[in-house]
Amino acid sequence: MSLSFESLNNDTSCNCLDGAYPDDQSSFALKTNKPLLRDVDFSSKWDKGERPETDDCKVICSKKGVSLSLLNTDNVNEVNSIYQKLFPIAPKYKPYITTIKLAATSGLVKHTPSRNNAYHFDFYKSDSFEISQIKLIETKNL
Amino acid sequence: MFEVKDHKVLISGLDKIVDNKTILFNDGDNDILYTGTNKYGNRLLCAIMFEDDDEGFFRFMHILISDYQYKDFLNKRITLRKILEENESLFLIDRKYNGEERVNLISFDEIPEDFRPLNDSYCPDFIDDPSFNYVISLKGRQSDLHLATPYDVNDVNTRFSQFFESATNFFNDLDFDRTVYIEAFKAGSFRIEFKIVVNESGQASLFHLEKQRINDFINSYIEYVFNDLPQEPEDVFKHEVVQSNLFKSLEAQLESLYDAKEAKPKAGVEQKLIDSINYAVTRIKDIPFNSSFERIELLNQSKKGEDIQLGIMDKSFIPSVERKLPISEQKPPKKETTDESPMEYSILVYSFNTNTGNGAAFVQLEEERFEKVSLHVKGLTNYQSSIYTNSMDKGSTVKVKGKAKRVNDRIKNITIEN
Repeated sequence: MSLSFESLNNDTSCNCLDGAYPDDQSSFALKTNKPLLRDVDFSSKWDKGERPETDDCKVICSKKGVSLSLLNTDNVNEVNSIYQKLFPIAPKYKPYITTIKLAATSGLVKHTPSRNNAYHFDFYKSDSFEISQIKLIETKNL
Repeated sequence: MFEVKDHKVLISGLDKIVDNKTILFNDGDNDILYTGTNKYGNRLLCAIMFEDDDEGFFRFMHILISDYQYKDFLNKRITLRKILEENESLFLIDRKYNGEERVNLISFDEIPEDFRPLNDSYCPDFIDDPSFNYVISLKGRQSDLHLATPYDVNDVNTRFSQFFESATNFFNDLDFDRTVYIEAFKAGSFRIEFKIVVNESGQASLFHLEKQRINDFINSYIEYVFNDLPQEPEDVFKHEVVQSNLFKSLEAQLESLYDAKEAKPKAGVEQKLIDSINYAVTRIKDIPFNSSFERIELLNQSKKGEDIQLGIMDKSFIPSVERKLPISEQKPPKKETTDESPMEYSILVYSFNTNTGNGAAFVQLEEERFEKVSLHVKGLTNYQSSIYTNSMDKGSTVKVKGKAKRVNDRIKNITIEN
């Protein structure tokens, strides 16, 4: 099945999907403001209106993606600790960690590790993305 | 979300970072913790408070802090909460998704308890991307007016160049070569920039990996010297084996660099590190804190160009470390002597310049004991077919008559007049 990404691509010449792939098997962690999934949890910085001052595609694509962290049985504690170490600084900033699975139709993921988080992924929504496609596995307080 | 009473921000721009912005932590979405300076040069420490995704804005705290508070925060000696309690006021910045900002100056008491940073709000471990570019920033007194006497600036330049050379003298053991450069001054700034250029012959892939680790080590070394050593007990280096966990952690970093090269310093890694710290601190111990400046901030520039503070040196630094190091021990004065008349020596020449007559040789002291000395041969019309070139070519000793100069009873050079 071929996914379309017109809304992702229509206002940039950057190819954010280079290196991205579908993954409806893995579990991903998403930080959220409330203990339930809402459309706004899948709004990227770009969706919210932020435009970087640079035309660097790496920066632009990071704004167009939704931040997720890959979760597996080996790294779950490590990923939790990445989020938990920020909690004392800002206890009201996205205080929930929600585990989800994506659907084949919801979009593509790209591994975008940082020095602080080796499991960081950008999620690029397809045009057919709907929040009902996302499988909610668990929501926990940080 | 919580509402606070509007207050006037008395001085425009006090809350806004315009220079030296450094992101200490970004969670992949937002800058959680960052710092920088406003247009007046004051440091701000900033943290996200929450995102209101119903109203579409983020709320941040911008806190004016001293360089010392910043140092203590980075070193986990003070929490964000404690800084807020001490400073009492902060700027509340509401930044809408479209970039519009609303600023309010409030007191810490106005923040509801559940929105305040927690009692354990220490700076999280963050991983920067260090470079070999270091900055010495003069602070206080005339330097805040971008003034300092040329003598003071040159003095700091020279002493910190020597500090960096001493701090990296282990490079030689690892087959690296390094040069410390001072970069050109920037107008209107009392930032002195140093660049350590590292070279190694061969093994390029290994070189890249080790360069990063060496860079991390030098930063840890500087942090230890300026932040941890002042807190160490006075006898830290006086036991047979150093007990300090902070020192041992630094030693382990250095040891792993030696292990990667399958090398070991003659005196052992622990002693090498103590000597290095001792020499490095000796280089800067006489820096005068006078009318030009009252403190020096040491920074590493990340590859993104952000300044990461490594330490602060002021007049309390040397008194806090000197009794822990042998720097206060007086070296006996050098005893120099020269033969009154030419004496006979057996030498094996291993380097000789046939244009100048200068070279280097091993001088035989006993049957199987040789020492390296400099050689100065004068008064020959032709140095090319001489006993010195002959000794070098054949690898054999020759007897010469010359005057030896000794320093502390060791021969340093032999001058031969023909």
